[in-house]
Amino acid sequence: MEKLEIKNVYKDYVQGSVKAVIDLSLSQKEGELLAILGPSGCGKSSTLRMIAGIEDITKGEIYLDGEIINWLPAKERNIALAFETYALYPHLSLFENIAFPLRIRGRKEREIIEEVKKIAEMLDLTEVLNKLPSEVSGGHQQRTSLARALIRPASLYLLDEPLSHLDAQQRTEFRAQIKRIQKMQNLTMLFVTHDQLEALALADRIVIMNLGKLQQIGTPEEVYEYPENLFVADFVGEPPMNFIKAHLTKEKDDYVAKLYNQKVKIPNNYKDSMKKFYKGEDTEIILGIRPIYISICKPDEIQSISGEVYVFEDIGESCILTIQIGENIIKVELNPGFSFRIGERVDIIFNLEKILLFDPVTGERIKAEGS
Amino acid sequence: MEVLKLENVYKSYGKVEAIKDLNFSCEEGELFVILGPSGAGKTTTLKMISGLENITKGKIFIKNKLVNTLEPKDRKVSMVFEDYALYPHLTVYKNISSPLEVLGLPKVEINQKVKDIAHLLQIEELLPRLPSMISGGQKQRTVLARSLVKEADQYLMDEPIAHLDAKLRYQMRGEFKRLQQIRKMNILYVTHDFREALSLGDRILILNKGVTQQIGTPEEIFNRPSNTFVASLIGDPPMNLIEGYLKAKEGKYFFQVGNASISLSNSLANKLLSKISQEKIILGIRPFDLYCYLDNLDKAKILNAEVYVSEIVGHHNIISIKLDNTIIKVREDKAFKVSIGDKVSLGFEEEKVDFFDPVSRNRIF
Repeated sequence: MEKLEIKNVYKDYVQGSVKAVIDLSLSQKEGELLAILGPSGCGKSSTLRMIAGIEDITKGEIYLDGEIINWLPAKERNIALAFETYALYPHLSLFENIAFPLRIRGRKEREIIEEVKKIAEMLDLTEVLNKLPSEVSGGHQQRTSLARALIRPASLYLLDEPLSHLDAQQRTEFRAQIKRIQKMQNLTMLFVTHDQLEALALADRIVIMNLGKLQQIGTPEEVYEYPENLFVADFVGEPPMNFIKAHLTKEKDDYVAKLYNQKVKIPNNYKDSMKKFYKGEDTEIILGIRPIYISICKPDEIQSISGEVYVFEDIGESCILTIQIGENIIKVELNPGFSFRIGERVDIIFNLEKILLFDPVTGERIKAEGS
Repeated sequence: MEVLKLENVYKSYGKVEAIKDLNFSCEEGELFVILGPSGAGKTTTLKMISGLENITKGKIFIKNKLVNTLEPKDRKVSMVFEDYALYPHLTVYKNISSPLEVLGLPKVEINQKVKDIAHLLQIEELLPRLPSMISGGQKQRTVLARSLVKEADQYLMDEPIAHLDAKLRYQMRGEFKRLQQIRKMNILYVTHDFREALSLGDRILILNKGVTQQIGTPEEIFNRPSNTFVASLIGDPPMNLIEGYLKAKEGKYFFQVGNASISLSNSLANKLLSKISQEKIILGIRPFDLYCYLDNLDKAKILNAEVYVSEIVGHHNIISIKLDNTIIKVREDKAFKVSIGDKVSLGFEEEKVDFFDPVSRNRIF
C-alpha cells in the first residue's frame, strides 16, 4: 500500500526566483525506508519540510494514507519528526523530552515510564535519561531527538540528517540501530541525508536529487551499479567512480573506445545502442568504472591497458592505486598486500561487465540491450 | 637528521592539562602525522610549535635550536590552517606570492617560485583568476601553494583537506601524497581521519586527551595497535573489541562471551596463558578478518550467532552479529546476503587476533 505519495510538487522561494523543488513525484510503501540524498541546495530539506507541513507547497499534491494533506496543519498530520538541530526542551531531562509526545496525549504514567525505558534501551540512552540536554554530548542529543520521534505511533517518521552530529564510530553503530528498529517494527521512514554511504547502508530505496530535480529513484544496488546519469554515478560510491574520456571508433563489427594510445572494446550487448549513438569516427564518449572493478594483470592479457603509477596509498583495509594514462587519472581499489612505486609501469584490466557508458553531451547513461 | 624535536612538553589552560609530556621528533624529509579525535590536543601542539601558543613546560627544538622563546616569525615554520582564507580581491598568483612579497624578495625570484609551485600543484592556468572563479579543490591547492612557496624548516598542516567533500578529499589525498614523495618536505600533519594518516604518514603519533598512545609506522599502527583506543580509532568499521573470559573444558580452550563462546587453539591459549594471570581479556579482530558462513562448517570458531542487522554499503555487506550482548561487525562481500535473525557461523585466522588487558587496555599480543 502507498503510504506517502508526492505528485508533481514544486517549491519556489522569493516569488519564484529560486526554484528549490521542480516537479517532484515519488511514492513510498508501508514499511519502507526511503532516503532522499543529494548535495546541499538539492531541495531535499524543502521536500522534507513540505511533507511535514512546516512549509507550503507552491504547486502539486502530497498524499498521506491516501488523503491529500496539502492544507493540513503540521500538528494534524500523523507524522513524527526528528530534526538535525535536535530542538530539545533545554529545561527538561532527556526522559521528559522523550516522554513529551506521550504526555500531551494523556497517557498513563506507568505506560510512559515503560515506553521511554524501552526506546532508551534501543538507542543506548538508559544511563543519561536523568540529564539535561546541555549536560550530554551532541550524539546523545541527536539520539534523544530520534527517541522522541519514535516513541509514538505515526503513519510516517521523518528524519533530517539523523547521523550528522555523530563521530565516525558512533555513526556506524547508530546506523545499524536505526535500521534494526525500522525493520523490526515495520515503520515507514523517510530520511534526508547528504551522505551517500548512509543512504546506501540504510535505505530500501534512494531518491537522488540535484538542483531541485529528481535524478533517480532506485534500490541501493540500482543506483550504485546502474546510475542513470553522470551526476548519480559521481555522487554515489567511495572511492568515486572513474570517468574516462574516450573516442569511439568502429573496427570491423566492433565498437572500440580509444583512450590515449590504447583501446577498450565495447561489450557486444551495447551494439544496438552504439549504432544509435555513433556519429562517425572520433565520437566522444565517457567510460565509467568503479575503482573496485579494475584489477592488475599481466602486460600481454587481452583487453589490458597500461599506464604509469601516479601514486599508491595503503590504507590498511584496502589499497588505492592511482594510475596515469595520458591525461586520464584512474583510481583502482585493491585488497591489502600490494605495493607500487611512483612512475612504475602497471597493466590493468577493466571488468567489462561493470563498465558504464555515458553521453558526454546529455550526461545520460547509454544503456546496454536488455537493461 | 632531526628537524623538529619536542621534549617533555606540557600545556595547561588553568587546571586543564591539554598536553601531557609530549615527546617526538620529525626527521628530514619525513611526513609525520598526529592522529586523534577532537579535543586530543592536535591543534594545540601545532600552535606551540609555531609559537602561537606558549608552552607550559618542556622544550621544543627546530634544527637543534631551542625555540621556546622565539617569536613565531623567527621560527622558520609555515602553517596551513583548516579554513582556507584566500584574499578574495587578489588573484591566485597574488595570493601565492604574498608571503614572499612580505619577505621583500626580488620580483624575478618571486615569479620563479610562484610558477614552480603552481606547476607542481597543477594550478598554473589559474594564476590570473580570482578565488571566486575557482573550485573548492583548486582553492585548497592555492592555499597549499601559498604555504609551500615559502621556504621553511618545518611545514605545519592542520587538517588541510578535512572540509573538502569526500570525492575531492580522495583526489587531494593522492595528489598530496605524490607531491610529498617527489618533494620530500618536512611536514607535520594533523588529522582526525585514519585513512589520511595511514595513506600519508611515514610515521603516525596517536594522541588522545593530550596523552601519546602510540608512535609508529602505518603498518605498526594498523597491525599492532598498542591499546584499545588505537585499535578502535583505525578502520571502518573499527576493530571489534570483545570482552570475555579464557576458559578450558575437557582439554579444549575457548573464549567465553556471556552465553556465547569462541573456540581457540591450544597453542594460542597457551601463548595467552603465559602472558596473563587473569581470566578476563579483550579479544580484538577486524571486521574484514572475520568470515561468515551460513552453515556450521568445521572452520567456524563461533557457532549459531544471530544476525542483528545487515547493511550493504557499496560492494561490502557490513553484517552486525549479536554475540551474547556484544554486537560485532563482519565485512563480507555484497554478494553474501543475510537477513535479521538469520543464524550464521564465523571463522577467522588466529594470527589476525589481538588481545588486550581489560584493566590497562594495553595490548597483550
